[in-house]
Amino acid sequence: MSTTTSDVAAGLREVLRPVLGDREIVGLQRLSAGANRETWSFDAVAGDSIERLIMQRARGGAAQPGRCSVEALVLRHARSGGVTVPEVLVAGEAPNPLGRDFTIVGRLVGESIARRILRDPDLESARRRFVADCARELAAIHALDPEPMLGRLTEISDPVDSQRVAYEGFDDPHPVFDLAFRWLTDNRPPAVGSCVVHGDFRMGNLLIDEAGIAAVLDWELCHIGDPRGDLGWLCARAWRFGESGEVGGIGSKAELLEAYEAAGGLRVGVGELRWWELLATLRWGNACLVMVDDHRRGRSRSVELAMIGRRIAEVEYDTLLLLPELVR
Amino acid sequence: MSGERSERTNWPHDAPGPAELVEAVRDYLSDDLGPRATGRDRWMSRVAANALTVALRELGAGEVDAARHRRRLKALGVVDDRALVDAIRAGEFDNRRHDLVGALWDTTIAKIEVANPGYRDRSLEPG
Repeated sequence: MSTTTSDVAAGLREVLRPVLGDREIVGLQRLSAGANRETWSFDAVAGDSIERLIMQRARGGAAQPGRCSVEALVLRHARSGGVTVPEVLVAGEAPNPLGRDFTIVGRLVGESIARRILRDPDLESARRRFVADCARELAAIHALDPEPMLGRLTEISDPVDSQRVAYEGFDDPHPVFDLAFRWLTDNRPPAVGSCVVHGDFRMGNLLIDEAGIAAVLDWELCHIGDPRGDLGWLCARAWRFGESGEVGGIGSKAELLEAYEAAGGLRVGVGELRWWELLATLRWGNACLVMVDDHRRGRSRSVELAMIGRRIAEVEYDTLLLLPELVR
Repeated sequence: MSGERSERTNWPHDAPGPAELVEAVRDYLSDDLGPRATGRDRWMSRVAANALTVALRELGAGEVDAARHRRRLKALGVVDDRALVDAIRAGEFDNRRHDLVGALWDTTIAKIEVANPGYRDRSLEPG
């Protein structure tokens, strides 16, 4: 299994040969270590020809080793369906010279760090069109033909139950969560048809340049489900990074819903969105419970993860503000 | 932390007490080490200082908060949060949601006041 940088470079030369011919791998560096995969940046050089690329591969021992190749499949369909995503150059499943499932895509230039997107004066024009851009991308994702991806993507038929079961699995009592899950179960909005859902469409997973959204990233949680899940997740307060705008810290929910419908998406009411935003808030709460559990059980010790435990108070605060009982 | 200082005359351990020690480390992280650090160390020293600030707030408010929490649980007729969760799941509060939400709101305000008081948006809170 490839572990050192020179092993990775050798593996890259091998897997790129059929598509680009013989290339020198220059400037190879590991960018981040996510829960399930690694991200590497490099240039593939032959004479004057330079391809700027990103390679993602499954992390050794990852829980979902097959996800990288599913992502490549999704990215190709998304690109042909008009979603702004990087172009897949080559992807492969293990066994291969890189040792694990991998995807190599074109490296795009832009900003993905939320605080900079929200404050950088050079990105003012991107902020002005951010909500409309999000609406257009989401409408395009939700309009993708799911047929080629059926059987490869997870299907989430009951999003409340899947989150509630995850929460109850922690055996860590948070009465606000229980109250909210009960309210969500009793007040489900009418069902709509399932479609391709990004699953993690939010500030932080969007690459932004002066012209707007340069790429929709991180398709790791893509699934078949309810399109309104993406809208609620995008509006959750966790992704506003301290700003007041309801959509990723920038725009209003009403503006998002209007633009989403205009771009071909479903007509979704503000009250309906609130239900999905509440579910998204609990989903973020569950993510916090996972992270603090990693710290407390010693799987991954860090003061950052420890402090995530205290963010659950924020989740409960937002949850109660979203519950109609409190407003009355 | 002045209360703690005056109470320690009949205490076996020497001053400074736990809160004062935590405060000293917090001030070192936020006023001394943090400003000199760069990159990830600078960020982590901010996170670490913030963790100690939360600990200090809880050391100051914890006993009063705990007493109020016990009173709220008693008024709801349960012994602890686990029993409360079981009762909510069993539907026992379906006809008393107003009481439940009121109690949970008071608990949540106490928690956010320790964890991150700046997160509150009073314009959204119920009168």
